[in-house]
Amino acid sequence: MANTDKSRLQQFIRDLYEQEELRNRWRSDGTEALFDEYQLSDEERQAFEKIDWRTYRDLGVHPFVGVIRWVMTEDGKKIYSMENFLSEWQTQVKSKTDY
Amino acid sequence: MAKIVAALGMSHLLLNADETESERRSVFDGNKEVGECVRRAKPDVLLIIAGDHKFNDTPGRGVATADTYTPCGDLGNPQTPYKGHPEFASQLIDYCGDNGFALEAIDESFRPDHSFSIPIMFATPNHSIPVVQMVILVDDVPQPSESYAYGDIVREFIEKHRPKDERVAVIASGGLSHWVFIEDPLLEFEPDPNATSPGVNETFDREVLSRFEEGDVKRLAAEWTNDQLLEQAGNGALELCYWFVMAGMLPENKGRTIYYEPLSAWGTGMGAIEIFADA
Repeated sequence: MANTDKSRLQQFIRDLYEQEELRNRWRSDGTEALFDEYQLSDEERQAFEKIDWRTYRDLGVHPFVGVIRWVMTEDGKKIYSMENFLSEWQTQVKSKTDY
Repeated sequence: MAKIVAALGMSHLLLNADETESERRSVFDGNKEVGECVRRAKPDVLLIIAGDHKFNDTPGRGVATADTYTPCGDLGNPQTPYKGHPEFASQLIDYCGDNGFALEAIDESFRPDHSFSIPIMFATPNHSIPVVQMVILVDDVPQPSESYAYGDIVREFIEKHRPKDERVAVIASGGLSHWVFIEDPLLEFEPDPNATSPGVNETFDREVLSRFEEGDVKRLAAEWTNDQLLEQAGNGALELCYWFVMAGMLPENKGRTIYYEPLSAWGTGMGAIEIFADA
């Protein structure tokens, strides 16, 4: 049966972001078995790897979910990080009693 | 009569891109000041109006009614649980529903993302203030004038139905101009020739801040539609719906810009505004 569910790639991305077990399998076994489980089409599989807003739009992926996918890339992890802010802020908060 | 004692609008991103130290400092200090404005007002409850970036399956418009919530941890946000205010939240849903602003209850499975956790981080980092979370998805944002009118309903609820002397602070979390994973404005949007930050509509952002400062939000909301916001300032600017609700809670009150940075390295206009409360 053809994959006609336009949100399937979106569901895959969201599940991958949320579920540690799925991410572990992604890291250890690669994507093919997971793609099969989610019945992703060839186009969706390529779109997962090559992140492009136009393709995502055409596949019915919400723009915010496109960002979630990008956050899982090495570049995304580096940029979508509050690390610099958190360390300074947490130091300041620790010294306050009325926060 | 319960009172709205602080009202703030703020952008809610903190990234680690190619911002300059000056830009980083401006955002950090601006967010700190937002938090200080909230704490100075000594609120009993903090109402945050924001969206969700598809980390959850929330209704289009709702209020979180559980006892506690745990952030989803996106952007590296700490996943420290914080308390809600079920009584306030449930009453708010009932009152708004009776007055034409339909909101659904959102249960404890909701895992707030940076829309909520960043304002909370600065306003009540030790989680001493209970938080009521109103979620309005950008896919379901009311028109600006409707949003403003909804603010009046929320104000009525607080003033008429909450306990005497209760102090309520509100933060609208989202905006300003930004294009989130849609057409690249550098390629397909005609940037303001005077703007120094590509990817950010600085003229738009400064007009928003100026009109909020002047207390001219009702007219502003009547002038704009969501389609215009989308065209001029991207899908991220639809989050200004939350600012309109917040301003509608303090109609015609003037305000001040806490900070503004046209932060092209993050692909967004970053800013915060305080609307002066009467209290």
